[in-house]
Amino acid sequence: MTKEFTPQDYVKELGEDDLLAVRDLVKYFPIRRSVIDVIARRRQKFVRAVDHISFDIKKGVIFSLVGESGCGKTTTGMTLVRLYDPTSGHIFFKVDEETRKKLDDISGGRIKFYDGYVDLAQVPSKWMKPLRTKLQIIFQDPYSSLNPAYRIRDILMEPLIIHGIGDSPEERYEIILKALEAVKLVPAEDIANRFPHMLSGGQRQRVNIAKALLLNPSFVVADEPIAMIDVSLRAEVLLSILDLKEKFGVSVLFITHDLTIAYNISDYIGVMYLGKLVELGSAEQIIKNPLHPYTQALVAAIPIPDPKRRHIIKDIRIKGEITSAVNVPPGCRFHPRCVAFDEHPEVQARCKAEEPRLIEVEKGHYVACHLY
Amino acid sequence: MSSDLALDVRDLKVYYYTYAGVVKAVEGVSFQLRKGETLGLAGESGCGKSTLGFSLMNLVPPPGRIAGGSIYLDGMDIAKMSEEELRRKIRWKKISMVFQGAMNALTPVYKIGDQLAEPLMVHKGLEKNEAIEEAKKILPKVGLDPEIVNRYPHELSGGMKQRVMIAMALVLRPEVVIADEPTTALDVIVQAQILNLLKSLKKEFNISLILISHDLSIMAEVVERLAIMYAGKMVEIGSSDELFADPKHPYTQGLLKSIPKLTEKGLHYIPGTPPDLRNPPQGCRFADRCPFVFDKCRREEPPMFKVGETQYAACWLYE
Ligand SMILES: Nc1ncnc2c1ncn2[C@@H]1O[C@H](COP(=O)(O)OP(=O)(O)OP(=O)(O)O)[C@@H](O)[C@H]1O
Ligand SMILES: Nc1ncnc2c1ncn2[C@@H]1O[C@H](COP(=O)(O)OP(=O)(O)OP(=O)(O)O)[C@@H](O)[C@H]1O
Ligand code: SF4
Ligand code: SF4
Ligand SMILES: [Mg+2]
Ligand SMILES: [Mg+2]
Repeated sequence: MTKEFTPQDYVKELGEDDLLAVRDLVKYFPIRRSVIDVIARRRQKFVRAVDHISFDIKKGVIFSLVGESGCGKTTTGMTLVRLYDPTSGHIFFKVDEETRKKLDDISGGRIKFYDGYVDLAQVPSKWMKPLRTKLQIIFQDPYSSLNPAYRIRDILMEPLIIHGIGDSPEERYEIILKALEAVKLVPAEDIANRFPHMLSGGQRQRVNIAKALLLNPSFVVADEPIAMIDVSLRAEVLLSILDLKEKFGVSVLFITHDLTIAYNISDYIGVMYLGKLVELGSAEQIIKNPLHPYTQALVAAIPIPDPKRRHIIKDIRIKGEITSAVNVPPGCRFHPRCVAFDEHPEVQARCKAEEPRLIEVEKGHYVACHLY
Repeated sequence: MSSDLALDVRDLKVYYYTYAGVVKAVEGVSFQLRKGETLGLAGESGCGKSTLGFSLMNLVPPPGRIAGGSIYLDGMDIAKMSEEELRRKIRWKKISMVFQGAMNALTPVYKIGDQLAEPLMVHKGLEKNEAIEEAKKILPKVGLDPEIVNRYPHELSGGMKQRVMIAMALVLRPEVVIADEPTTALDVIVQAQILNLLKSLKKEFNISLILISHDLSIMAEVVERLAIMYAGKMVEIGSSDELFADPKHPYTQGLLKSIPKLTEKGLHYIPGTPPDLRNPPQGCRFADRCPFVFDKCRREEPPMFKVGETQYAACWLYE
């Protein structure tokens, strides 16, 4: 992707079923400077949390983002739903006629549309409201995300009132019951009248899914939604997330560090390393045929529930420790930890000097590594 | 007690005496740990895994305490020892523990070396520089550069801190090490490296290892024998080979089915939630979630029945 591309050029390449197209997205966080830094006029440093990433999400699919702690998964999710403002780049998002009209009304026609897409990166926060219902996020912690002082019905009523959905309290209550039933929290009337502490972690997380669903979104970010849920109950939450896609046609960005779960739930997987997407493909391609040396190490590390492998000491082909997103190594940012780098002297010069781009190696399977 | 046993636990009860009632976190648990063996303790959150771990060092945090039963080690009953005796003879010397989440509790103002030296000074009466030299010898065993004795905890990654915790547990060369969720909250790659480390240390130091985890995939990769706990009770125990191939207790069956796999796609769960440990139901504690429940289950508590070569299950189906 070259810099001279205009939004129209990007959008022209998109297919009929693309819901969201991320292009060259960047999110840097400034690091707080000490007084001494300021006096000495040291340059402002940044955490390069998300550093020029591009990918598409089709309608009604689950796209998992995987990678180690701090690689930028949450920042990506938060930026896509505009809880963070991007530093630069584009987020093309397809909107329906109704939302488009609302956007025209609120902005006095000043928001640009490109073939039915709006660039979320360019919509000022004050005009985001009509888009907020379309973009939802579910967080990791099902315990702190629901106000303990309110009944479930009141918790779910709030967003409906804020966005003016439903004409009467009765109608809103009907919508709430439907949403609870959609995530199989039944009998819905009983659940609606409970307080959060009267529900299990899995049930609370399904309330959060119901809350996201209420506003009829087209895109939901689920940020490690099962990390704090008991093993025996995880699937009940995952099945509700699958329903978002299958029954309601919603697209989901599913953030996880568990590759087995990513494999089981998603259509596509993107692998992130230090703010970059290093590999992208179908769940099958990424897990069964990982190409990037980092993805290969991740896949080799997956625990396998088979006691016959007990005596094996696993060969995890990676060196050193996680590098910080402040001092990103030049060239391929993975090179200080890359075992393939050591084994392929012929690519070392390029690895150290040139950032590899994502290239398509087989249909739909992209990798950013000079070996390919 | 036969000499090939590292621990012999009999009818152990551990309760927390809270204002809201008595939490029966471990209720009548019996098992044996063989010398040099790796035993796993699995079960969902709150089933009593950590509590059982603490009690093996007689270190249950208040308001909890051992309410009954015995823990035999070399013919001594740890459950009945005085604090003084425990400190002098047992803790860290015979049994040590890598506590759940403790890598984030390393004292931030002390260097790694000081923290590793402390048990050596207290228990072995070494001078500080001798203790630090001793500590430096153990660090390479856990894959760390001895020079990190001069670093502070915040200068280490999560995986490095966990290695320090493991080094601490090993520094007095105990016979039994309990590792409580040693890889939870670590990235997959670091997790696999820590599991590799535990496997190789187990051989090198010839320790008996109790691994506590809620993750059965990890268990399969490490432990020789596996015990499944549910609501304060041990419901099944057996060799990993037997238990993974043919789980007998309906709860174990449900748990194994809940593990997501790479070999076949599918999502399964056990409907319902575990009972309140302040007020557990009469009879089998799994009855409310069990697909095979029948009359007797709700009336009487099932004892352990032998169900395989090495396998025992507490379920009336096997009477
Ligand atoms: N609000 C913020 N201000 C400054 N730096 C931040 C902020 N949020 C995240 N970062 C930094 O940006 C990088 C990416 O963080 P992010 O939370 O996106 O990672 P992640 O992949 O979600 O990690 P995890 O798996 O631990 O949740 C990290 O270096 C992090 O410290
Ligand atoms: N200090 C305490 N006071 C009161 N109750 C406690 C205390 N510590 C633990 N409990 C209770 O004892 C039971 C067992 O807790 P324990 O921490 O042993 O479970 P666990 O199996 O280790 O769970 P996890 O997988 O979440 O670590 C739980 O019901 C818990 O609420
Ligand atoms: S580009 Fe070079 S350093 Fe980067 S992953 Fe590929 S081989 Fe390794
Ligand atoms: S004793 Fe009864 S309720 Fe309990 S696990 Fe066995 S069959 Fe199920
Ligand atoms: Mg995150
Ligand atoms: Mg615990």
